[in-house]
Amino acid sequence: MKARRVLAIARKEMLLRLRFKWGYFFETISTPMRLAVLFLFIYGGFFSSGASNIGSVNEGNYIVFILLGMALSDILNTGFNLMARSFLWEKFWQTIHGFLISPATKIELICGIGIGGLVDSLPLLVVSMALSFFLMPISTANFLCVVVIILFAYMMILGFSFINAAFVLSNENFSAVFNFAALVMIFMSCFYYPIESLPRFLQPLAQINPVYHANIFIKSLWIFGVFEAKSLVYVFVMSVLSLFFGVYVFDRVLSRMGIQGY
Amino acid sequence: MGSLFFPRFESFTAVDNVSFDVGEGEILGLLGPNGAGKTTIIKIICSLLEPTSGRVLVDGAPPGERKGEIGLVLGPAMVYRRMTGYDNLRYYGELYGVGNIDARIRELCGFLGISGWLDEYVEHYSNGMVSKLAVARALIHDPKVLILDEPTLGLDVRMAEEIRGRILKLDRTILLTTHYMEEARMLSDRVVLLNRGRVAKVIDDPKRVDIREEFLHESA
Repeated sequence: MKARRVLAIARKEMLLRLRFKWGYFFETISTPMRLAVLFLFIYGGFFSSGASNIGSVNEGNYIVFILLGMALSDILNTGFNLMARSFLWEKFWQTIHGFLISPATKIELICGIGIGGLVDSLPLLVVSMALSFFLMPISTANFLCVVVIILFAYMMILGFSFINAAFVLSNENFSAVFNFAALVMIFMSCFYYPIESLPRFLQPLAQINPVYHANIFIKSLWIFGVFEAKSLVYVFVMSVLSLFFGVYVFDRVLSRMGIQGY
Repeated sequence: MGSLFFPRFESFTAVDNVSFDVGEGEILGLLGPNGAGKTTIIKIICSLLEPTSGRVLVDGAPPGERKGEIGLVLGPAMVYRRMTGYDNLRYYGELYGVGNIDARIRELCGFLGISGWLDEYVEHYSNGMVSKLAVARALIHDPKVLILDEPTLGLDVRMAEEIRGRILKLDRTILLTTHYMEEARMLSDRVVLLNRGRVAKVIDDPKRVDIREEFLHESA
């Protein structure tokens, strides 16, 4: 993997993304904040009515719980939509061939688009982490662990997103189905609510969801100081697997079906 | 209503039993009517499409192993209109690992006559300027083989002539597809006439043959 190629792709993504800056602000800042504010109102009303807790969430930690959920949800939603959005644009601009015939590898492409996409989620990530730190400070070591698992989770979601990108290029019908399936994963990630609030029969689904493990690792460490080693290993393994699986599926789909629909 | 939700896609053979070779330094023209299979052949050569059978070799190896040696122009495509000309060339130069990119960009843009426009967004370029930038983009890594798919499509006569003149000065192996007979005659050392996905005729000396006559005869 050549860093120069990765950075070139990242720079190109940022240039394209920031061509019209107002849309960038409203899409990246306001959308996740809207959801977080909604949950702040709900939890605030719930606890002010006299309730003591929902699972592990209580009056003392619900704001940090939501802020951390917002940070992770934002970066993972961005990562998931990143490839599909970028490839859909490139399909209609007819620029996608320029990359596909170049010597750059698919892993370089994923990393480049992933780094370029951080411009979307980094501002909100920094703000929500800073606010969480202000409300509930943690040690530097724990903070670094949180950053590491966010990176693993981001890599993992980019791998899934690459599969979606293949469908976006070849057959957008499959992309729609894939997006719908991803919705289940988002619900089962428990970004804004504890797993105890899910119906019992759905809880095993959350337990096998790697995004849930990234989420629970961060919140356990930040709020309760508990290091969930199993979750860390699970997310790491899934991040490596999803990257290679994503590249494999991308190549298979593209070589079989070609680029369609432009 | 059924066709609205479940449109039928009939499979068809775009290219069938096509075989030709291009010598080093030669300009080979692929000429054919719309739908003859020219662009499909180019996509196969560039490994953008996988053929159901047969193979393509570039300098003795599959095209996937020669990516750094192939430059492709697909009309005005593959140029980012939301970026400046300079950023386009820099991006592709970095993808291909070009050293001293700025000097290479200056050299190419001087040759193609677009130096004064490099800092403008491509969305402000004329069609001719975009075509020249597309050629510069394909040449940025100094490829051994250049594939030009309709490089003068939609351009006025003067701009098309100017681009043809620059192509003639390139001095490298070129595969050119066009449906402009005059362009094929002027640029090509040999011309392969395609019709309905097959090679209809190979013209060894296009400058001495009435290509139009051959074309109309073969595509009838």
